[in-house]
Amino acid sequence: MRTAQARGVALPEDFVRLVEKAHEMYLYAAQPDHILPMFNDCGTQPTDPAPYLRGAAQMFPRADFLWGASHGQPALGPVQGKGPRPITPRTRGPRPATM
Amino acid sequence: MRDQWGPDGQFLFFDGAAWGASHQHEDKLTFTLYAGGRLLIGDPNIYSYSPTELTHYFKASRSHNVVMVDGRGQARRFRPESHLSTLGRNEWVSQPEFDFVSSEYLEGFAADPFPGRGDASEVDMGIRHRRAILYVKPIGAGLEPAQGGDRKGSPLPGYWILCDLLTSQDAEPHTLEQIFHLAPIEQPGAAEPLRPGEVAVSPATIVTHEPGLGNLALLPVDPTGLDVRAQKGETSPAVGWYGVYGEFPAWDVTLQRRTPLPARLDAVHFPLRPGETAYPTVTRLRADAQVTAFRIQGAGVDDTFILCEEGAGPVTVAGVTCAGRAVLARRQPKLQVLTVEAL
Repeated sequence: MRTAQARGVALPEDFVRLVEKAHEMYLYAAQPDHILPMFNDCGTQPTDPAPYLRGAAQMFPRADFLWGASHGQPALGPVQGKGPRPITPRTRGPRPATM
Repeated sequence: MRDQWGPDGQFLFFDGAAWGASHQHEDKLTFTLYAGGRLLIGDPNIYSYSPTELTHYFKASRSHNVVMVDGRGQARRFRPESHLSTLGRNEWVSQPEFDFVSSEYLEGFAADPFPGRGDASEVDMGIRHRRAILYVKPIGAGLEPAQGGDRKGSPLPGYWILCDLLTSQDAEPHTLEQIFHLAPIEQPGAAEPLRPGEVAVSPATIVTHEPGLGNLALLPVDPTGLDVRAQKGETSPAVGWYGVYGEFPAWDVTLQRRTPLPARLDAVHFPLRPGETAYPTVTRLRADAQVTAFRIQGAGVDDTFILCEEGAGPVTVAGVTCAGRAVLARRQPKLQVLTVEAL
């Protein structure tokens, strides 16, 4: 997507949405220690999805992607389920985007 | 499933998906569980693609948190349609007080000895496995602090109820093995990056013992007649291994029962925060093909749980009525009924 954007190439909206959804998986599947669960052939080392979410946050300006990319900063986590519901806020901060 | 985001969270990841196009394992209905700051039930993963007994183990059902029947595991490898689709019904409900998931394995069981893989004619399609998990979140989860949402003040952690229903087209007794892989302890900087940890095993309780860390009490609902064993680092056949950072011994806990089907294998997974040692007791109230029900009692917890299969109709057990898919009646600190509607 970055390559296409740099060259002024418009990508189909459904493709863009699919890329965004794929990165939601990195966010929602992460354990509380921000490591992805190791299922099937997940590689020989635990995977930290933060670099992928940093890339996603450049393309999709979403507070929850930034939250995952920074291992939990700011203090509000992603919204789970229906409605904009902050999960265990410890300190007040900006409300993340609704998904 | 999770109660919050951040390092103090509790988390369960469940797999009810298709077998996939590549890198597949025979592991539908498996899960991993994280609480108390560490992984408690893990997936052994895989370390190499060498044609060894351990590589075979890592791909087979024995190496996942699933149920094997008569020594046979899942057999989706013989079913081309399983690459992109799966059979059975999936259910998912997420609420502030609980999460609920259910899925089915309907794609047959077959022997899977190393190095042979058998053929499609050996697949028994008559055995069916349905798994449901209810996550009872900590009291106060999902609430703003002003509403009592500070989980550190909760008298109890959340806990999980796991219900396995096995059915068959025959009336013969079958040997059921319900397998759980206790996650090894990470040792950053040590010569061995993982160690198996300590576990005490009896038919009524399987409890990990790691001072200063989070632990797990695994509580079978029906301990009578249950053969429980913990194995690590065994070969020929391979049992008790973990394939992260290398190939290391780790505990496989197997709860085994021989019984005609339908049969239920239900268990409460109760996480213990660092320093905690007390866990509740579980009492069976009802178990048949349509309904499973039991009571969980301990310090600060007195819950009655009922799970109904489709068509069971309104069911009342010990004064609690389930008119949908599941209900949990919580009596402490005050009466609260959590209901999973029929989907």
